[in-house]
Amino acid sequence: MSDRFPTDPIDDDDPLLDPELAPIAALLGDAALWEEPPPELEEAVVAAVQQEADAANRVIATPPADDASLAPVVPIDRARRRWVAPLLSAAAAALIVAAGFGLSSRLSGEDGPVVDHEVALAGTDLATEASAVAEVTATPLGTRIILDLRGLPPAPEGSYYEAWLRQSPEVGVSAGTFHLRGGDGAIELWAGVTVDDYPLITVTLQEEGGGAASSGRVVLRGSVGG
Amino acid sequence: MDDVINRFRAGDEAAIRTLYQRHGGAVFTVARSVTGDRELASEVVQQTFTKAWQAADRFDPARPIAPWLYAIARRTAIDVLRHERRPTTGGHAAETDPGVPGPSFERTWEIHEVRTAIDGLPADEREVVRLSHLAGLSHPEIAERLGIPVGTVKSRSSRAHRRLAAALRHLSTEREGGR
Repeated sequence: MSDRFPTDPIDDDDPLLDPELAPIAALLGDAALWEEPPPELEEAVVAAVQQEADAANRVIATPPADDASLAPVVPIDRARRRWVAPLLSAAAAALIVAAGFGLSSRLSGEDGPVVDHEVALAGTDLATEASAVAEVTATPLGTRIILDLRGLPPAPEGSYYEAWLRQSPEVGVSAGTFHLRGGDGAIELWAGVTVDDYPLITVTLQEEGGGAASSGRVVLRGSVGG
Repeated sequence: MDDVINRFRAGDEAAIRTLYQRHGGAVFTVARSVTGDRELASEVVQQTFTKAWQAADRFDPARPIAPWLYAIARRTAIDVLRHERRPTTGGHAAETDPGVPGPSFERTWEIHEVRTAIDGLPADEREVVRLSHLAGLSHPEIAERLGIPVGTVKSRSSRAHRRLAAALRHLSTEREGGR
C-alpha cells in the first residue's frame, strides 16, 4: 500500500486532505482495492442463484407423494463448491427427496422461517427411548438449531446435556447446554460454525465441573445428509 | 431497491445481475482482503450471493442491502479460509482453533466502503483517481497518459475527491466513535 497521499493535490481545500479522512483515503493506494473480479464471475453468480431458485420452485410444485401435508422440500446441496466447478444439475437436485434418516433439506414453511436442514437424531444405548429433530438454519449471526427432544430424561442433578456440532468424534464445537428438568420439548441452540464444516450433531451427558471437553457419553446423534 | 430484492427472491436474472453489478465489486474486495487469494475470493462471491438468496426471505427490504451483503461476505470468506487452512491429517482441537483470520471487521468494513465509493464514481473520475493513487502518477503524467488537458485532470480529481469525501465521511465518524 502506498503511503503517498495525495500525489498532486490541486488545492488546500481538497477534502481528502482532511486528517480525519487520511487513513481512509490511504486505502486508495491499496492494489487489492482496485482489483476487478474475473469477468466470468457474474455468470457464475447468476447461474448459482438461479439454480437455487429453480430447485426450490420445482420441488414446491411437486409435494411428496406419500404425505402431501408435509412441508415442501427444497433440495439444496449446501456442500462447499468451487465457483469454477459445474453447479448442481437440476436432475441431481431433484433426486433429493423428503425421506429417510438425517434428511438434509431446506424446508420452507408458510408460517415460519426457512430451515436449511432438518436432521433426525437417534438415541444411543445410553438413551434408547430418546429421539430428536434438529432444524438447522444458517443465519448472519451463526448457526441456529431448534432441537425438538422426545424421550430424553431430565439430566440428573450435577450433570447437564450439551449439544455439539462435530467434524469427527475428536473435533467438535459446543452448541450449548440444557438440562430438561422442566420436561422435554424444543430448545434453541446456537453455534459459531456451520454444518457444512461440522455436519455431525450429537448430545452428550456432562458432569458439572468436568471440564469443557466432551464427556464422550453420547445420548443422541445424527448427521446432516444422513 | 425493494423491487430488486423482491425479484432477487424470485430468482429473476436481471435482479441478480443488478445486485451483482452494484455490490459484486465490493463483495469481491472484502473476500480478497480476507482470503488473500483471487480464486478463493471468487468462490466467496458466488457463495455470498447464493447465501443471500437463501436468506432473502428474512431480509427486511427497508434496510440497506450493502451492510447485509458485507456481513455475509466476510463470514463466508472466513469460513472458506478456515476450510482451506484445515489440517488434512491429525485434526485439531476446536479449543485451539485460531481466531478470526485476516483483517479486522472494522478494517474490512472500511475496505468495503471505500470500494463502494470508488465504484460509485463516474468512469472518467474513477480512472483519474486510480492513476493518481494506485499508479502514483502526477496530474501532468495522467494528462499525458489519457491524452487530455492537465486542467481536465485536475477538475476530475477535484470532483472525485469531493465525492469520495462525502461518501466516506461516516467512516471517520465511526472511527471516532470506536475509540
